[in-house]
Order: sequence, then C-alpha cells, then structure tokens
Amino acid sequence: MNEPSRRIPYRTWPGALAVLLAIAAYVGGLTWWDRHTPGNRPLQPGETVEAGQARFVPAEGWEMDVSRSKAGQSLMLFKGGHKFLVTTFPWAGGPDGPLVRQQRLMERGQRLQIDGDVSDFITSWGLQGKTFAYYGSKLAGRFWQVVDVRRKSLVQIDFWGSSDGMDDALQEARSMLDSMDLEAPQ
Amino acid sequence: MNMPVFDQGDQSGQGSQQVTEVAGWPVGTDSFFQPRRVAFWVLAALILNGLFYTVYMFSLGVRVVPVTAFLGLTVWGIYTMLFVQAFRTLDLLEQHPTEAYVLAFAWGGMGAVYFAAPANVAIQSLCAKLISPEFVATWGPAIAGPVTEEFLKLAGVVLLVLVARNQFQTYLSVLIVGAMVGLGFQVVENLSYTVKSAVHFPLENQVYPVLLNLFTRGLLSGLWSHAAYTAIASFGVAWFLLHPQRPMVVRVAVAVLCFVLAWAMHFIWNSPFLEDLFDGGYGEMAVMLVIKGLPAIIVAALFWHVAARENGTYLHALAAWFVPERDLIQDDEWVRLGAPMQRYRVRREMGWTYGWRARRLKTHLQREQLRLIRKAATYGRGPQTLKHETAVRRLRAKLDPIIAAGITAKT
Repeated sequence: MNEPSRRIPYRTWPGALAVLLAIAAYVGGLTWWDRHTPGNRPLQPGETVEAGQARFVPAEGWEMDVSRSKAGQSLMLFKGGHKFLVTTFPWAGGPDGPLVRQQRLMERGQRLQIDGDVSDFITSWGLQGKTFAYYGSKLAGRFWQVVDVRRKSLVQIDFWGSSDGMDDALQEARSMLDSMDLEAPQ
Repeated sequence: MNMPVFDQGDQSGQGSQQVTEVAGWPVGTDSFFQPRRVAFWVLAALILNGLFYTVYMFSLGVRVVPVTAFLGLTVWGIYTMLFVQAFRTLDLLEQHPTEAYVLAFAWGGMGAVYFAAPANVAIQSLCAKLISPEFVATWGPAIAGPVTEEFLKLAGVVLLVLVARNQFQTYLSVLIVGAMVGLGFQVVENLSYTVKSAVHFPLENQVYPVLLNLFTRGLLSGLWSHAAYTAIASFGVAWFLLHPQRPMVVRVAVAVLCFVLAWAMHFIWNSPFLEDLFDGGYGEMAVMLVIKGLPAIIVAALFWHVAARENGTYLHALAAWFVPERDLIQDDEWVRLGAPMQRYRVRREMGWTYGWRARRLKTHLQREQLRLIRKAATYGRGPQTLKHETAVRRLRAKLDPIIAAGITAKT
C-alpha cells in the first residue's frame, strides 16, 4: 500500500471485447429469439375478447398479437398487414383533451397527417365518441375515442395498415367497433 | 513496510505525470481519457450511440408534451444535483476526478438505457408469447427489468474499471462509480417515464405528470432505486478487482453473489408482492414502497459501511506514511479520515458553535487533507503536493482564530 501508484500499461481489448460481445449476445439474442417466436393467437369465431372494460367480437380471420397486448389494458388484433388496437386508460379531464394529445402524437411524433376533420360517431350499442382518419407515407388508419364519464375511463381504438385491402379491413374494423360495449367485468 | 521512493524533481513538460522510472514504470494514476485503450473507445462509442437515442426520444416528447418535457428535464436535473451534492457532502466524490463521474452517469443514462429498452421489450414479449399476456401484466417488469438493467449498468462499471484500473484501489472507489451509473440510469428512466405518462395522463395538465412522477419515482422510490442496486452489484466487481491473491473461482463467486443480490432487490421492488395488501391510495402506496424498498437500502447501507471502513483503513495507512506532520492532519482529524459521517458531524457542529464561515473553512480543510493524502499516495510528497499543503495550512490559519474567538467569547 505504501508504494505510489504505478502507471503500468495493460491491454484492455480482451475485456472490452468481452463486454461488447456479452451486450450484443444478450440484447441481440433476446431480440432475435423474440422475432422468431410466433405471437399470434387464433380466435374462435364469435368469441368475445376484452381489453379493460371494453369487450367486442373480433371479425373473422383476425388474430390476437399477444406480445403487443397488455392484460387489462390493451388488446392488439391483426389480419395481414392491418392492425386493430383497443386501449383503455383512466380519465379525469375534458373529453376532447386525450384526442388532441393523440393527434399531436401522430402529427408531431409519428409524422402522420390527419385526414379531414374530427367527427362524431355512435354505434348500435350506443357507444358514442369522436373519430378521425389519418395517413402516412406507408399506411393509413382511423382512430376512434370513447369517454365513459360515469366510469371515468377512456377507450381508444386505433386501426391502421397498408392501402392494400384497406376498404375490406376498415369494414371489419367498423364491425368490431359496432359490436363493442363497455360492460366487461372488472 | 518498504520505503517508498519518489522523484522530487519538477514536472515540467509532463503535467502532473511524474515519470520516475524507479520501478520500471512511471509513478501516478491513469486518467479516464485513454485514447490508446480499446475500453475507452467502446465506452465512448456506446455512450454516444445512447446519446443520439436519448435526444431523439426526448425531442419526441418535446413535440408532443413540451411543458412536461422541459419541466421534467429541469426537475430531474435538480434531483440529480441533490444526489451529487449528497455524495459530495460525504466526500465520496474525492475518490476520482470529475470525468469519471461524468462517464459513469452518461453510461447509466445513455449507454445502458439504449440497450435496456429493446431487451426489456423482448423479454416481456417472449413471456407473453410463451406464457400469457396476463402473466406479463403481473410479472413482466420483475422478470425483464432486474436482469437486463443490472447487467447493463454493471457492464459500464467494468468498462470504466478497464479504462483506468489503477484509479480503483478501494471498494469505495468502485461503489461510488456504480452508484453514479445507477443514478444516471434512474434519472433518464424517470424523465422518460414522466414524458410517456404525460401523453396518456388522465388530465389535460402537463405539470401534474411531472409532480406525480417526482413524488412516486423520485421521493418514494428514489433512495432504493438503481443507485442502490448498482452500488450493491459493484461491490462484487470491487472485491474481484482488489483480491487478486484469492482463487479465481472465489473472486467470480463473490462478484456473481453481489450481482444476484442486486438482482433480487430489484426483483422484489418490481414484483407485485404486497400489492394486494394495500389499496390504491397514495398513503398506503407510500407505506408499501417503503416496506419493499427497505431491504435494498439496508443491504446497500451495509455495503457502504464495509467500503467506508476499508477506505478509512486505507486512508489511515496512507496518511501515517505520507503525511505524518501533525500541523497538516491533527490527531482527531486523522481518526476521522475514513468516517464521512463523523466528518460531516464535526463540520455541522462547527457551524452551530462558530458560525457558517467556520463550517465552510472546516469543509475545505477536510477536503484539502483528503486531496493531499491521495496526491501524496499517487505521486509522492514534493512540489506536486505543495499546493494542498499550503491550502491546509492557510485554511487552518483562518479557522483557528475563529475557534479561539468563539472560545474566548464563551468564557
């Protein structure tokens, strides 16, 4: 101890390389494994699915993406290149606020364009809210939002995908929305 | 005890690096700027890579929730400063030059965060696919977070040790770097969560998410968060590094054990344990967070205690050999060299008894004594330590009259 420190040269490349390889193997390996593990779960025809208090009947051929669904919070369905995401949040503010933030997120964060104006919608089950369409360089979509003031909850439904087969997929998305109610047991 | 041999000559042309070749190699410690070492470039490249990612993510937040983003940056910046000030108050920052802490903080906040994000997503996604989304909702954070984040933060500590190995001569010197890596991770993660939570906050207000996150993540969780975990894991690295005489298997086992301990603390924190026992109110949540965080803070405190004691022994030995003059380090000051809390108490008492100026002078005096010991141990006594010797004498010359005047006034 009672010797001064010495600046003795030493090699760091084996250690540095080992750290770099360990990080690459860990992060890369996990990502690779995840990409090569299928995450689809086929749904039975007529089966009701739930995301928080929202429940609905998926259209035929749509499958659940389990890796992008969070139990009790969100549910992602997909069919071909089209996605249908239902997300529920707590709500305590003005009904239009979350919609404005969502538009800001899309326009400023995701570089998407809002197509036309926001309009009202109402489903056959009586769900009502606001909706707008949007598009980007490689995709187009439609966003619906329902605020349940009584339960202080917010349900956002986002549908998007490539323009191929968009009309049919949008029709199915509308039918899923039409089958939706907010009565799922919590 | 061998008599140390130093070059007492001037250092012109070499800066502070004396090049006495007594034992074949120059005297001194390596700086953390080492352009000829691969570890330095790996560290720098990964930090830079993470910096681009962090700036990109933050700019996204600025575009969507600008008030939250800037207020969050300010609040978490102040939060960081408070931690750094606490480390400084305990003289922990005297262990290394400033660049060590900058690199450590940057690794935690940028290098580690960049890799943690995709790895955590992949683990949670795999759990959802292989088990169920319900399982992930409950156990996902506990399974993904600890293993990924503790591993990545510790990788930065290892790289820093590789860059300037002879800067790490005590447990404490490794622990403080680990704590700084953890603090960097914690602060950038908190800022990221603050911005994300603002995007889907139940209210329109962009200030509330900042306050809420500061309260929950900063105040209720801050003490037993990443800084504590990484300090625990870093103790293993320190033990591995400072016990080369022990069998390799034992050194590796201690390092692994400390890592597992840090992982376990993090796992308990992220797990849903105890959540059923408390309702969703803030009061009960605070109680639950304290209960869950206590094991981590107790273990971290134990490790800090062991490290501080070892550092004390190290400083005592160095001071006895290199700075024997009693006018530079008096007996009572010598006794407290390795006890940061005692040193702090002395400063505080001095402030109460003799006023704020006396406290400030005592603080500077203690700090200069530490610097003198470290400089002397690194380069030997000579012109290179003269600055600190003069500073100690000058500070004492200012402090002693204040104390004498205070005693006279009392009597």
